[in-house]
Amino acid sequence: MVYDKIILGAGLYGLYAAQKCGARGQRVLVLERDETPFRRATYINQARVHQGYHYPRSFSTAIKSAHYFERFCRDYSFCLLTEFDQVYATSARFSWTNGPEFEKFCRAASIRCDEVAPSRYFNPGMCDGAFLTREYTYDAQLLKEHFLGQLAGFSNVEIRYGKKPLALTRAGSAWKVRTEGAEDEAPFLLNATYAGVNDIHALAGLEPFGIKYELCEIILCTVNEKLKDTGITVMDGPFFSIMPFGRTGLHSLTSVTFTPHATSYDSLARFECQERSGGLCGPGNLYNCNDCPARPASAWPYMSQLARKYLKEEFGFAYHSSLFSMKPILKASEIDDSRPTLIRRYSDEPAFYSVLSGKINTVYDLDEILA
Amino acid sequence: MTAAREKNFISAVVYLHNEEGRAAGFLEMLRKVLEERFEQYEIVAVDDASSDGTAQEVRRFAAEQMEKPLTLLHMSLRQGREKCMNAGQDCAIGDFVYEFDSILTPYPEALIFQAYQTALQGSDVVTVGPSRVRAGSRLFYGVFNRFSRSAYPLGTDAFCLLSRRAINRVHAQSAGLAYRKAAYAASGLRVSSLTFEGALQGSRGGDLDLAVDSLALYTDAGYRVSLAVTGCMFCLALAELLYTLAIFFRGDFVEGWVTTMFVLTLGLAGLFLVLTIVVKYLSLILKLTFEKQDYLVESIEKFQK
Repeated sequence: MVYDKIILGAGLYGLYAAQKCGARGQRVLVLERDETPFRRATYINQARVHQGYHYPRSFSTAIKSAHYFERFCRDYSFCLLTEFDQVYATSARFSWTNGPEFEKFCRAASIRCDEVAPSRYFNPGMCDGAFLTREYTYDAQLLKEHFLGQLAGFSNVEIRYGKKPLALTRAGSAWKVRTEGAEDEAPFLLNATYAGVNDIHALAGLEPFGIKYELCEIILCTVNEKLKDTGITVMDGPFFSIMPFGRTGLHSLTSVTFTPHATSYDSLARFECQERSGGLCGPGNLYNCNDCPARPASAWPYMSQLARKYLKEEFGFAYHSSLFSMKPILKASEIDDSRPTLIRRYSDEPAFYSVLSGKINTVYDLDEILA
Repeated sequence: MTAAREKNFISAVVYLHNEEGRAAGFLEMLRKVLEERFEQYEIVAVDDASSDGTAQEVRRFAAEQMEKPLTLLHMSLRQGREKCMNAGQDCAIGDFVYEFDSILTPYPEALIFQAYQTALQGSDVVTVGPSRVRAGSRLFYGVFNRFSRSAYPLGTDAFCLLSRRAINRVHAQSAGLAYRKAAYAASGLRVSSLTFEGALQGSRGGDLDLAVDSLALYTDAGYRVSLAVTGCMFCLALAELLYTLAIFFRGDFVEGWVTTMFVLTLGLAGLFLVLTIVVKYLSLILKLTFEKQDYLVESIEKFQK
């Protein structure tokens, strides 16, 4: 079939683009290799709507985040959890920043930051600054239902699940995408596959993004009354975060050193666990880590230990489940910790765009290419 | 393999300085002991700016032998055992933390687990030390314990084990740890000591500055000394007074000379001594209050599988 746009990947970026273009009456095809949308990074992350707090070493990312934050909160307020204390703290040891520096940074980026006593949350000597901030968490399942509801109203938008591209070729002024039992074409192709971005590039014979891959684990926890309405993030170094996971009633627990289980520096992700996936996964063919039979054992003992070292005993949490996903990280950005949205145009007619962004609320960056 | 291993998370902090050829052997011994006894553990190796291949050896060991996490902490420049161990301890996440100041093992391996068992019986700090101690150390600890404010005597030790509670306690008590062991002993929590037959090998310790700091910070030696000096001055003054009175009644004196000399020499000498002690205290207070980063870390490497 012939479409106006073909979008690869039914994560937030893919469905956002489909919704935008669908609303304009364009014929849109979304191809998703999993059985449902939002099964990977859109769902499996800390669920932060970033205000920029996370990037005290990258000012531009912080300002951009703060700007998009307002807009995202307006547009998708129904999926947000806003009523909780989001505490950012600077570790007294091994941190790249400290309390006063963090405060200075927030002031410069004009984002909220009210000092509280570290002793309210942390064991003695662990943190040298703690701040109440304004940051929300989104519920990916509610967001998904919203998008699916919107898209159901467009007869001109089609989503096919369980379909991964087998071949990608350029034919005149269109890109041809072959999937199992079908071949479709469009003059515009958007690669919004996140961790799969280079897999698609390899199919189309395009130059890969300079990324490394981390196989990440997000631990979901049940928490006690004391921690229920509190999110805690200790920065900026080998620390942890435990915060509400959307509106699920659970908290997500992550840590900088224990969340990544394995790292691949190859342009097409290569991991030792792929051999144990029973052929489901391989370089150039990233399977869903969360559904994979070869997913690693949980790092709960370490992550919980790290969090307990910092947190006062009264903040209780217990293991609920683990979620695994693949996270691509732009290599050039490793030094300043900035993770801007990367949108690259590979061809004009037909158009081929690849997008890569580590944050949910920078989805608006897509607007400029969806004209 | 032991059927039921301990559930508590254990961290072992190891001090390394130019230990090429020996580091891996010690780490392997440690790994075996921990693996046998504990379900969850980590090793934190602190490389105090070694100039030889110590770091390489640890990396190789981590890659080849370790299933559990190993953190290698590189110090920017040589900072000595105390600061390095503080850095390592800040890195450790265990419920209990072993501190190995040296990789020499003049003690039986079984003592490592025995220390843990002792801790479970209600000791927040367990030290393991030799039965024979060098004269210098004996003198230091003798003076220290004589003037110490803590309920537990301090001694030379080969390694020690701390509970998280003890670590939190000492951090709540003071900003920095000038001398870890004294801080633990003064924490008010229960301290137990285990002893093995023999002596510590190699030369370590012998840091006069650290010894003086520790005495000033964790004992009331300074106060006692100044008190003694004041007492001596008082006696001298009394003697001088008697002498002056005797001269006075005998009638052969130059007016005012004796008294002036008394005030000038003894008074000033005593004053200076007291001032020295006060200055020592002040400089320590200054150091503890204002030096936030008391060690410099170059980089951290984490190895895990």
